[in-house]
Amino acid sequence: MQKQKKGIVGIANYDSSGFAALDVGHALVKGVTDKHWTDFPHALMPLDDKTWSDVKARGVIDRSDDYVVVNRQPYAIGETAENHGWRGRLEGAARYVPEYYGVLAAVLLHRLFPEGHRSLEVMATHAPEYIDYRADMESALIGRWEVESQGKKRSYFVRHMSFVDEPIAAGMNVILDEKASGFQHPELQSGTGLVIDIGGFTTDAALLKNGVPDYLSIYSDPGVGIIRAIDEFKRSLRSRYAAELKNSSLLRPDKLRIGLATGEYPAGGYGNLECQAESDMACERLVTLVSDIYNRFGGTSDMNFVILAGGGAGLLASRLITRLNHPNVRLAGRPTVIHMSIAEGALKMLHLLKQYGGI
Amino acid sequence: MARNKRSSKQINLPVRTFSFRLSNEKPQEKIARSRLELMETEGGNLRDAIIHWLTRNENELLIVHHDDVTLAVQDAFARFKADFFMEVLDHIRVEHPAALQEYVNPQAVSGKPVTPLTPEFITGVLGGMKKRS
Repeated sequence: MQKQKKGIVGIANYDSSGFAALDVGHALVKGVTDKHWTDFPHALMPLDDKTWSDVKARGVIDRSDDYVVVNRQPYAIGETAENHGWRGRLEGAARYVPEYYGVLAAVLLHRLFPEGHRSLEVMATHAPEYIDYRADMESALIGRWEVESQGKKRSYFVRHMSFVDEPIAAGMNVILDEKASGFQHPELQSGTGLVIDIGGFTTDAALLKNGVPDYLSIYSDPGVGIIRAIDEFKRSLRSRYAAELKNSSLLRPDKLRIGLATGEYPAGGYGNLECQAESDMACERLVTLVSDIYNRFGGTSDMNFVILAGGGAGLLASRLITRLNHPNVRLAGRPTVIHMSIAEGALKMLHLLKQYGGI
Repeated sequence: MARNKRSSKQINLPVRTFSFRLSNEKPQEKIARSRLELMETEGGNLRDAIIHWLTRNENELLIVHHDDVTLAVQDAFARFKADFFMEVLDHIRVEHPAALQEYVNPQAVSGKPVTPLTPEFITGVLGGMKKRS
């Protein structure tokens, strides 16, 4: 046992080999363990017998891990499902059923645990507005799962789940070090900070007071998210390049993300279509909405620091920094994998809970 | 295409060019712009080259996808924890390899001493978490 200051006792040695944190977001599905992390676009398409037979006949399932069989039901996931024209997105609390949330989470576990696992501890994140559906999330995932992909069949047993609001997890990713054994940035343990998590459909926020989350401050705006910016970008792109895109009934989400981020849409044989103005317009509208949330919490005069999280932060960071006009704005994670910051923070909270919370 | 900020201090040392695919797309769908090009000197180190580049381009955000990035690149990103923001780039070149040594300093990019958690913090985080469940 390791003794902390003032007699707080934590468990020094514990087995975290079955720890996983899962962040099933509206845009991307993400998971992390102590050793691995993974993500794929939020898309899940059950395949009927005929489609599955066709896919098997083409030999694709041996080459792509986007084809999975979960509890004997075949699915296409991620970009492959998107490219098949997937339209079956479940939103909000309707997602929290075994055949949707459970399957997405099981696929994450399959990618995170190469050997299978019989006793998993999962920390699941959710947008604050879904706090009343934690029991549904638990029902959707607790238990045994069989997952097969690329000929590798493994089983998993999810023994226990804990939950954390996404902006809290994002904040803790900055506050805590890797195994939640210390503070990563001691200078953030004083004053007030604001965490802003810009997700697919929702932007959430929460205050940190002297480094501690103020759970009563948690705020959620379901109308502000990066997916709406992408939709707006798509409309204006189609309007400008009507001739070039007229035969493209489906603009691939991954290409739209590139176009929005870079101002150049990769249009195959047409090369890169310049679309900086369309990108700016879509991003600026979202930046305005996010800065409104920032000002709602008091803005620059009330905050000692600001933490930006979520996939939207990666796209908007430079624009937001200019708009917020605060000298201490940080990303919740490494710039290259900012979208993983919530799952990473959730994993740290699982470590904290194990050391001090008695799970 | 690329909004590539090039250094005016380029030095013509013997270099090797590394190309990385930085997209989740399948190889056959790969677009040429999704590459990271880095030059590595004979005595240099790819990880440090990336750290150098990131450090010297503080106003730009690099967005990459992880699938095809080598361990060396991942390691560099993992070690680089500075708080800055960069704009999206699709082409990157390290153009001043002689300056790398400034950044080959483990203390500068990792290894901070641990500051122990306080009882107030632990009870505040976990107590609030339990109340909310």
